[in-house]
Amino acid sequence: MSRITLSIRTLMFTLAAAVVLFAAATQALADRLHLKDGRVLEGEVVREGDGFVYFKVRVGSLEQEQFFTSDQILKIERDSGAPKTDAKAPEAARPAGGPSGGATKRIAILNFGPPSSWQGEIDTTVGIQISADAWKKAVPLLEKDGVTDVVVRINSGGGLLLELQRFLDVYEKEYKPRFRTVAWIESAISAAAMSPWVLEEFYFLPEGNIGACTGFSGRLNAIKGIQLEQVLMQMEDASRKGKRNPLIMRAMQIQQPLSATIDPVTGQVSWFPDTKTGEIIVNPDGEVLTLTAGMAVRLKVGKAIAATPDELARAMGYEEWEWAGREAAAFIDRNMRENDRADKQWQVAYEKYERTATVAAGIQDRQRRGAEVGIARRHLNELKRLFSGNPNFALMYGTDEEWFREQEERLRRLMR
Amino acid sequence: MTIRNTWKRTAAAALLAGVAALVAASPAHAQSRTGGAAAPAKSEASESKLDVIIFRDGKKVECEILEETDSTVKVKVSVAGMVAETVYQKSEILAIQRGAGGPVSGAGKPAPRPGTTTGRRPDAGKPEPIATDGVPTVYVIRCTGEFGRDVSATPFAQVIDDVKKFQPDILVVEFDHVFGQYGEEIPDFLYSPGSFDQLETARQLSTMLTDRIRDDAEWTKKPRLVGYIKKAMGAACFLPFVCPELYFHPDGLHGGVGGLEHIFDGVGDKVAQEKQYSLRLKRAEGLAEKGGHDPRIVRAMARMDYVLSYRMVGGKAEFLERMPETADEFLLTDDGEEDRRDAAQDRLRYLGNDVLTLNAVTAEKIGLSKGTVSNLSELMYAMGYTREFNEVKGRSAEILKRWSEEVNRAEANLQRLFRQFQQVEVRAPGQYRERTAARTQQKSLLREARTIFSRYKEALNPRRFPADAAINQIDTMIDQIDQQQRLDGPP
Repeated sequence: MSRITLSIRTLMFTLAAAVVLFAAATQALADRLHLKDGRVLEGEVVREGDGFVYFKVRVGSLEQEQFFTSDQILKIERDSGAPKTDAKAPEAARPAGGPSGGATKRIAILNFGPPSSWQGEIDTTVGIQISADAWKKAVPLLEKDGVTDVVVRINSGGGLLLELQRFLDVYEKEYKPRFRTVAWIESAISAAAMSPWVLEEFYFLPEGNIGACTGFSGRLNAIKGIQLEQVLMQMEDASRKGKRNPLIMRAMQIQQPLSATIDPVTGQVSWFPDTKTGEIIVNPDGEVLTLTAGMAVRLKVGKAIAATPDELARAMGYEEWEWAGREAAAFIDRNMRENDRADKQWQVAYEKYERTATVAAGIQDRQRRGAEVGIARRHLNELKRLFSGNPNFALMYGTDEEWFREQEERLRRLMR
Repeated sequence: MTIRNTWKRTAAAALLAGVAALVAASPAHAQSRTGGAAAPAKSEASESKLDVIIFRDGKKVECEILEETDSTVKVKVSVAGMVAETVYQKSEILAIQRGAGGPVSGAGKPAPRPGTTTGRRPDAGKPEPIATDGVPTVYVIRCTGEFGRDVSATPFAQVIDDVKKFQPDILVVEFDHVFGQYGEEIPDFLYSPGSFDQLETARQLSTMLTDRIRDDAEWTKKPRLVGYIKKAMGAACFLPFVCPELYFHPDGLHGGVGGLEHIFDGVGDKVAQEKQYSLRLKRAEGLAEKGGHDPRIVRAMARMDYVLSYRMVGGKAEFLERMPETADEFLLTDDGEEDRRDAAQDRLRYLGNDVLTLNAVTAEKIGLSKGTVSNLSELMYAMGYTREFNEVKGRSAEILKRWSEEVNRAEANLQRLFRQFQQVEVRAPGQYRERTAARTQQKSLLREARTIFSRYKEALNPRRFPADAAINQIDTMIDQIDQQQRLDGPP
């Protein structure tokens, strides 16, 4: 146990060192942004458009990119060349990977869980309705449609821990290199908060919330010991990839007190693992953290609040864009509905199959037995169809390819 | 389909009369305080000119424009010597002439001019209609009964469709619910933290009031959304928060969800309990943020261990997450620990402060409520509609009433069907034909029950009629009966 703790400390030290090295390697910047509130920020105009500026603020060896609207700005003193217009803006703003080219952006919105406007039509469980496998399969559809940006619109109350790493990998390895991928959060609870944590840009709906990532099973039995340490480490890695302070996710996973201070000059947020040091108590002692949209944006966990897709696109820094990826969006939605139906029908289909097969075994008359076996086979095929939509059913219900082979053999024997 | 509310205007006028009496009683104080300084102020004021609004029906109103949006103009007008604020829809207006009117008189009051509607009625103290046509329309959805049962997704969607037909200027949602859950009423002084289980229903319904109206192009005019709280306790307390403007009835109550941090006492591990409290609370707070309200109000309603005070700064409440420290700070909720735990007699008298249950007075003090009003006329007046208005008589009451009756009938029918299913017997002589008839009858009863479960599952009492489990059970039973029939076979 102590060795694991030591490993985590070592990892965090390494991460901190990496941040410092990265910061030290950047070029000297010298644009000056005069704000109407009297502040003068030194750094670099990363990009600007009609009514906004992204400004990389430098304080000592630390840098942070901030967004300002023109009504906040008094003037800009430039020392880093010509103004960076919005034509190249999305490229400059994209924090990781994605296709190149300055053409109009084609943005796809994919549902990670059914939005509340679906009125509870289906459940929202990660690993059941929401499948990493489907998200992976959606990638070619997005590419075929020339999508440049993917919005992961999240509304889910969490789900299976086993799906977590699959989602982290899909977003890190499949999406981030191909698309500017951002999260747009209605409600991201537990596994739904952890799954997109490698994404570097979070936007929120006005009612948005994210957190409550404590793993548990059964009647609120929290995961403990090595399993807990594994998940904590898993999310430290995700925090690094998502460029977030690991304390934030830790406070969402365990009763980790958390406070923060926002630098009044740079706007930079410093995090502290207690409720005494920082000026803002983010997570009181003894509680598990969930952030609302307002607090998330205030603490720079979220970039902006956007109520509509158009507001989101503008918050992403675009003046022109096209909505795209309808086929992929429809594929994801259809997959969620099918998985929901499968989840709800699985138990009934299984009971039908098992009873029919059991009764068939007791029938002496071969013709009548054959008729029952035929019906049992129909139920088994239905189970196979439900199984094929989501590989997690195999784990949840103890049925895998081997089980299906055994049942086929069982039915064959009954026909002898 | 609309009824012009002249009688309601009269009621509003009666309210105004009271205000006018207060105004009339105060000049002595005003004069003695301002003294000689009043003269230059008046002189300055008289130099400015009133604005003129010309309506499409030809009428003109002199007034002082206070605020202008894409769709409305808020103005200050003088009515029978009394100053009042009102809002005009731009759709009614032909032209706005700024500074084209007469001089502003006295303390900024626009002078009534003969020939305009402002001076038409001589009886002081009554709000005068500025124009008789193009009056604002208001649709009131009156939500009563049990939230989640009598008001749920299916009827609410129908109600919103009905509202859309009228395209009102203002949509008022009146919350006057029974404080209860699953058919059991709860005394107002108690808490029902289990109501958080119905938070999802509130989140889902909230999208119909907000996002759906916003995003639906058929809503050519987006109504001003206003919540009016008479009783929003327990599960009903969440939905009002998405309304940007809230008003309270004088007897209004809002809350009843305290004790969230105890709903899983004794179950599992503390950290997993805290996760559950956290996600529920923040999802509820999210609704408050969506409506533009301070989420700390929700937290104070929900957690007994949360301390919240406030002080007034510049006429606005400033919240403090600690006990009051000075005489100008006021406690809303303490931590409920030790001797600070509410005594039974205090809770019975609504004097407790372990959790926040808002009444009209406190809600207005802390800025959640924009005003306390007794009826629709007062509400409209408080919102700045001092003229007459049309209350659209839609079908919402009928839709909600019919749904409530259907749900009650559905539960009664399910009980009847279960009884009948148990009583199905194979008639004499009990041969294959009679057995087949009995099975057919059983399947028919089960199918009828399944239809009811599917249709009303959002509103049925989940403790007595757990719909999803019941539907699965029915499907299995029907399959089992089919198998029995196959195996039975004809003689």
